[in-house]
Amino acid sequence: MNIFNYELKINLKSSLYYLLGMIALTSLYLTFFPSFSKDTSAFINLLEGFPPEFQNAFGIDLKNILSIMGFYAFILFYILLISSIQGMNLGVSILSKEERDKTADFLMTKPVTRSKILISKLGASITIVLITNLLFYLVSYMSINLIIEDTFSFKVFTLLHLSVFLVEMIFLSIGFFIGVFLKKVKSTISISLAVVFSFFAIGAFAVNASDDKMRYLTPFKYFDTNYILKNGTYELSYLVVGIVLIILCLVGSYFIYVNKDIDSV
Amino acid sequence: MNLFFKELKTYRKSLIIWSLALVLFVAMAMIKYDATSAAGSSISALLMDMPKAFQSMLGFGTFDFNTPIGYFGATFIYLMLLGAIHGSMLGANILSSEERDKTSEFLMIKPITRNMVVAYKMLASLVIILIFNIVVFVSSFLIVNSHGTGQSYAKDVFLLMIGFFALELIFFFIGFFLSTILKRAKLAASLVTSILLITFIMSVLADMFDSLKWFKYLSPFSYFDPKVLLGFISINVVQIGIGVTIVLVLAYLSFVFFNKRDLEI
Repeated sequence: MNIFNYELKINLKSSLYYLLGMIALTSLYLTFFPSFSKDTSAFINLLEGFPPEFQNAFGIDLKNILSIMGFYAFILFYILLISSIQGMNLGVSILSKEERDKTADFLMTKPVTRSKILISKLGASITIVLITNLLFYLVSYMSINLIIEDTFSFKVFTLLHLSVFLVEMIFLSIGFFIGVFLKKVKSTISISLAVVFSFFAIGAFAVNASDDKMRYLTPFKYFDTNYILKNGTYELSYLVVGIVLIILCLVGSYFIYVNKDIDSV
Repeated sequence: MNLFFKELKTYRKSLIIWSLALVLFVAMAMIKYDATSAAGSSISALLMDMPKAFQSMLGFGTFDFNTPIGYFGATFIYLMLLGAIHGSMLGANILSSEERDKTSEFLMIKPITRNMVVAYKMLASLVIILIFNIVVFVSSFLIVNSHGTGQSYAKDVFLLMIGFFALELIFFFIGFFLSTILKRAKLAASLVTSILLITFIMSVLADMFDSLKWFKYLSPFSYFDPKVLLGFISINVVQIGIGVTIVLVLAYLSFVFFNKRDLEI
């Protein structure tokens, strides 16, 4: 329990900075919804004059995007990017820092098994991700109610936030795996940024449409916003792939870590 | 000069990986162009009537999606984001790695002044950035042209690349400067990442909402917006001035602060 408490304490502070940043960003963004919906209502009228085939050419349901949840989902995409980096940083550093800072010897001489170390550290990381996501969810719910007068679907709101949490968990797991897989991690943030933005770029450059199989390649596209807005559920196959990915990475890190040749001073 | 060549050698592998990744992303983006350009030009006409915030949400803006260069210009902001990450990581790491790897003492007992250390490391970084930019330029030019119908896009791609280079340079110097003033040089990478993400999101918001237009002066991403580079919006001299000032001042201050720095050994 010592390791768990210690990791929780030292990692919580930087997570709170991330949280404050995310709250500030969403609150600022939400204040623009009234003027946004005024601008777009004229556009919706214009759009209604066009035949439905034409509207379908966009491949998206425009009315959903122009609703408060569509507007909110846009900023959540950037939140997703930030929280993915946070999750990845946490995952990569939490085990590898012992070797980099030459404290692995100290830790290994304690009367705890490697699997106990791994589980405590993983538990601490997941707890941090849970706490930050839960706080963000609650504060966002309050601010959206304060700022916006329109009604919105609580289910869609929850699903959108839950998808941010799941993607962060995926990146946490990938990071955890990378942290034990690499022999030595020199700079955590360089690795996190390279991995997160590679997946981001695959999503931005390679994925064409919602039925594109390339979507399986990047966690950023597992939870399609338009699909959630329209149907109020996740696409099952992507949800399963995401969860399988988390399990594979975590089980893989466990087996590597218990057998790893850890660098000593 | 030994230090200069040593740095080039150290960063050779990462330079190759970064270059290949960007070439791959350009190729992927233009394959996507082939798939979307068939949708027809009637969409472009409707796009012009959309509210500005909504154009940004869909990722369209002022670009003509039916020409290779229009499409490339619209996705170019993501390439610039990757370039900025490359620059900021290079800047944050190239000096601070000595302290991180506990090699500062070794370096400092060499017959070389601190000014020369900074100068050689800066010079090596500039060469690395230049090679990286040339690779991205040549491959982008070849790939974009191969999707066109005969006319050459050399000038447009070149204009975009000037922005890419300038933005990368600004973030390189922010990272480099931070690593000379922060007490724990390791923090430079995290801090420059925060600056990068915040300014990137600011540039997105500045495009969406008129009342946040002043963000454009705070975000280097707006100084070299692809819409400016391709001539859709006229160049703002003040922004360019701020960009040049940032680079010159931070470069100068890096020398000043590194000379006074109490190295962590």
